[in-house]
Amino acid sequence: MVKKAEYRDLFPGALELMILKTLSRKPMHGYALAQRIKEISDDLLQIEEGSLYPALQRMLKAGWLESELGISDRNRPVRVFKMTQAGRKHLEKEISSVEQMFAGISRVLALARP
Amino acid sequence: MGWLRHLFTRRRRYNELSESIREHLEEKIAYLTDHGMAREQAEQAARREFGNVTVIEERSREVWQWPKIESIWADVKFAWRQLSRSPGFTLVALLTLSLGIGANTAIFSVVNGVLLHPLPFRDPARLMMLDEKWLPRFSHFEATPKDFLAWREQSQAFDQLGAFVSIAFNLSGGGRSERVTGARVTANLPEVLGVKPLLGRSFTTAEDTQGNDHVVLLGYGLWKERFGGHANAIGSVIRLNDLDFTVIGVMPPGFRFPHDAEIWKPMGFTADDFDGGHFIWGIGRLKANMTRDQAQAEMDSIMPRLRSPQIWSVNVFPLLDYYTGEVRTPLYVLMGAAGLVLLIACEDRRVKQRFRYGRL
Repeated sequence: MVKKAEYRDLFPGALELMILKTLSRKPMHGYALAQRIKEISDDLLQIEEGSLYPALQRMLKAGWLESELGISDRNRPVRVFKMTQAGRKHLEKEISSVEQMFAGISRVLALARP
Repeated sequence: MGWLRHLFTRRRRYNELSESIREHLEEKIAYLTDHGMAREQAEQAARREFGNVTVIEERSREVWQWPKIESIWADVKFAWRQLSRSPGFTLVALLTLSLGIGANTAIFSVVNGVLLHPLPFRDPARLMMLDEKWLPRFSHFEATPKDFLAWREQSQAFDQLGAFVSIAFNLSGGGRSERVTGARVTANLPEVLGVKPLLGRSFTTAEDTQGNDHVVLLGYGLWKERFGGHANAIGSVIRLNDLDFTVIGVMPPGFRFPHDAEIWKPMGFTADDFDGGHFIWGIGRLKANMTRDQAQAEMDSIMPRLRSPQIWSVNVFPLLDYYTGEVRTPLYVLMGAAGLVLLIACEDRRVKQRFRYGRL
């Protein structure tokens, strides 16, 4: 069986969600994306920078992202990841389903309270 | 065809991926050296934070590959290891499954041959058999020639109506004789079925009368066997039941109507045939705008007119039913049952296996 050790996610799809959310503001290259995600996730997600890449490839394959040539902050030519329309739709769907899940969890917790 | 496109663009994807990772590392190293770290140290730090480049690249590539095939292969290897560890279990599992599969295959080949294969005639769905019934004693019984001739005269539902009866001939000649299965058929029978002789011609109406009926059509196999497949068989004379018959045609291979027949002679009704005996089957081709029910209704109106009080009435039913008859439903039931057996066999194996590995 194919090992899936790179999933040390908060929940399934958390990494993808974070990538999409980050790229929804502007296209980024891998390094910048990794720094940004480290920043926002703090220590919640203990990810290696490299584990972004399999996720990025999955998202390229799903058609949520496109890659194109761009320029880095240091004026080097780099590959930049850009969100597609399909990616935007997926992001919206994911956000609403996560929100639903949270609503559900709060309800259950409210019920469990004596 | 997304997977096809992926297949062709994969090489480019891989290169881009390697590039991206290299860019990432360089960017990181540049950042670290900018902040005063030595180049060598920076490289190490960058790699440490990035993770194992080879593994990550591998996993990223896997996204574009066919994980299904890979995991199927892994499953096969796993199953093989488990099975070879316990030969007894493997043997029982294999036996149950092969019995289940074997039963299914056997029954399906019968169902396929009998029920699913179309009859080798033109538009066989329009071919209807006609026989007689006298309830409650006989639900299917052969018809009398007299009734058949009345149907032929009065019926409007059929393009053509023919009749046949299987008989065995004693075929003699060349110092030997053999028993050959054949049939007496009305002259129009090949036409009703939509089959033309391979060689020679079919019967004429004139030949379908007593005294003019010493002509025969040969089956393909018999022609090959007795005449070596030569065209000069046409016109030659053979002896059937010690009477001479002229060969006028050869039927195509596979034509053995009604049951394994190898030779056909015209019906040529005799006076004896009209002594009231029930011995022939009717077969008709429905007109294009007619249905079986309409033909049945027509026959139901003809029969009371023939004899008073009426004793016999007519069944009109598809030719396929004549061949499959009462086995059709049991066959389907049997096929269903065999399918269930296989299902149970599979499920049983699964449960036992789970039990074995303590997951139940």
